[in-house]
Amino acid sequence: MRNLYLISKEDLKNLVKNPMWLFYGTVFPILLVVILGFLGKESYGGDVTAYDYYGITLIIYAILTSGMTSANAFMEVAIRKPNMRIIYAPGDAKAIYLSKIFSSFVFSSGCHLFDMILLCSIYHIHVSAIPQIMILFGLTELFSVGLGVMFCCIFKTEAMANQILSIVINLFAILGGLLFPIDGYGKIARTISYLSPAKWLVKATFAMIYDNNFRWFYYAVIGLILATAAVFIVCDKTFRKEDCIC
Amino acid sequence: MLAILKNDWKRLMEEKLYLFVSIGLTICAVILAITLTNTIETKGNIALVLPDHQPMTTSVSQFSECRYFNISILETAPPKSELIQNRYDAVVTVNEDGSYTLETIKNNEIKEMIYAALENPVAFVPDLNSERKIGTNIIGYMMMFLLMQGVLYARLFAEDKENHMIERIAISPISFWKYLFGHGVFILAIIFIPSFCVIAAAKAFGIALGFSLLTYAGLIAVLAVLSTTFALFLNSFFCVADTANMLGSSLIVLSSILAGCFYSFAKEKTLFDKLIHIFPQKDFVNFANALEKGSLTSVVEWQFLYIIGLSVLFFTVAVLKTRKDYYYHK
Repeated sequence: MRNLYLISKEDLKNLVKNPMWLFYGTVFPILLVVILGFLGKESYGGDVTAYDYYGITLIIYAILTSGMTSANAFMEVAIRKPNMRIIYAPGDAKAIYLSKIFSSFVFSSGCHLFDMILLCSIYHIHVSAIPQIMILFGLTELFSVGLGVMFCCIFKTEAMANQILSIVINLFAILGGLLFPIDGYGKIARTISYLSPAKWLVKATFAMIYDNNFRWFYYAVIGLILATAAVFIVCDKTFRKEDCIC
Repeated sequence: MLAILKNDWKRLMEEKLYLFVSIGLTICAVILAITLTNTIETKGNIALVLPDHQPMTTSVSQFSECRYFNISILETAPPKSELIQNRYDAVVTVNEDGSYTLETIKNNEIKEMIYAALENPVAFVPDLNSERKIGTNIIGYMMMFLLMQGVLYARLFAEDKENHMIERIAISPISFWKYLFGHGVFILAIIFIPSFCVIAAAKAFGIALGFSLLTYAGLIAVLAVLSTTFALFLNSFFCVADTANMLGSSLIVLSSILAGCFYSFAKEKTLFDKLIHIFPQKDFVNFANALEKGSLTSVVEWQFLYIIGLSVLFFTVAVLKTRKDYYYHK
């Protein structure tokens, strides 16, 4: 446990020091919300604004993309040699990937929490049921950083994991209506959209905020816990410490 | 150059899992584009709420048959979160005395259009000119994924740089023009073939696609060229594949959304809208739109030439930059 803590701490330092990840974690989501909110402003009336929609969906999008951060934290060129040392050190080699999951979880949740507070105070995004939303987003964060590491474990190289992950996330995002509302596009589109986990998250969040309806929240939480467990199991099965030798 | 093509092919064959996954995802994206666009020909979704099975008045029943809207008749009003998610654009509630109330979170234009349709359902004809047609929509949806594919496969070039292969190439007889052209042709082919095959298959199944197959081939080819050259351009500036990839995919997502690939945001004639024409995606959508409606003007043709010019520029810069980095000058 102590090993895990120490490695996670170093990984976190490594993440915070890289300006690219800081940009990707904090500035990029804000930019997306500002731009899309500004563009969509015209089609909304006064009661609900475009920021109310995009503020929520794009934060979910940002949370899903944090898988790319963890994939990078795991197999970035600079981190490969330290990983190799851990294999030779006494202790469990599983700490290699677990520490990456925990450190990027802490890093991305910090960034996104900051984003949410900033956006809510600037644009007065309508939010309620805050503790539940925190639980939901926190679980999603854990799931998506786990997913990033899982892709690394399966594909063995970071570049490939990253590229495939970015296409998968964007497909999920479009299907789930994160980048533009998809529900109005007819019955077929609505049915397919339930394939995307993003859709469940969006539905659960909006149902909590606007209808005070927590049914979808429970479904989403149970689904996320199962999915996260599956991701951890796949990581455990596919992770081989030999892959870290370079 | 042929040697590079062969070598690229062998390298991809080494990683079959990767190849299958990425081709599978392309196919998914194109199928998604086709299914999404086949259903958006109406002006909006409206929930018509009739409490307690009360009979419809003639004007309301005429309204519910209006072909410009997709109208669902409900007994209770839908929750507000469905309005937020754009499931319904508006909720029309019919009261017991036959009067109605309209609830929407959208702007006044939509409100007025629905009021006009409610007042006079038979004569109602909306302004359909601003809508895009099927072909443009399909191309718009495919665009972002096609552009991202370029960054995906440009890994072949990035790996050459990462593993210092390129320094050996620099002292071999092949010129950088030919070297990058070889990679370019390969990436182009691997982007073009799977997506075009899906379109051709959809056509064979008799799905309405808007353009003819030949036009699709041309449009996808232009997009693939843009995607390839942009990816090579980006990779020529970075020695690490991840940085180029991360930056490339976020740039593509951001600019595609801004350019209105999926969803046309800005109205014409604002300064902002003119600025967006910097993004080739916007010009491309405009061109496809004009082509489909048969209203090609010289401005649109120039916009199309701008895309080609930009591709040539990207490629030239990529070659020159790589040559500057790897030739020994003194």
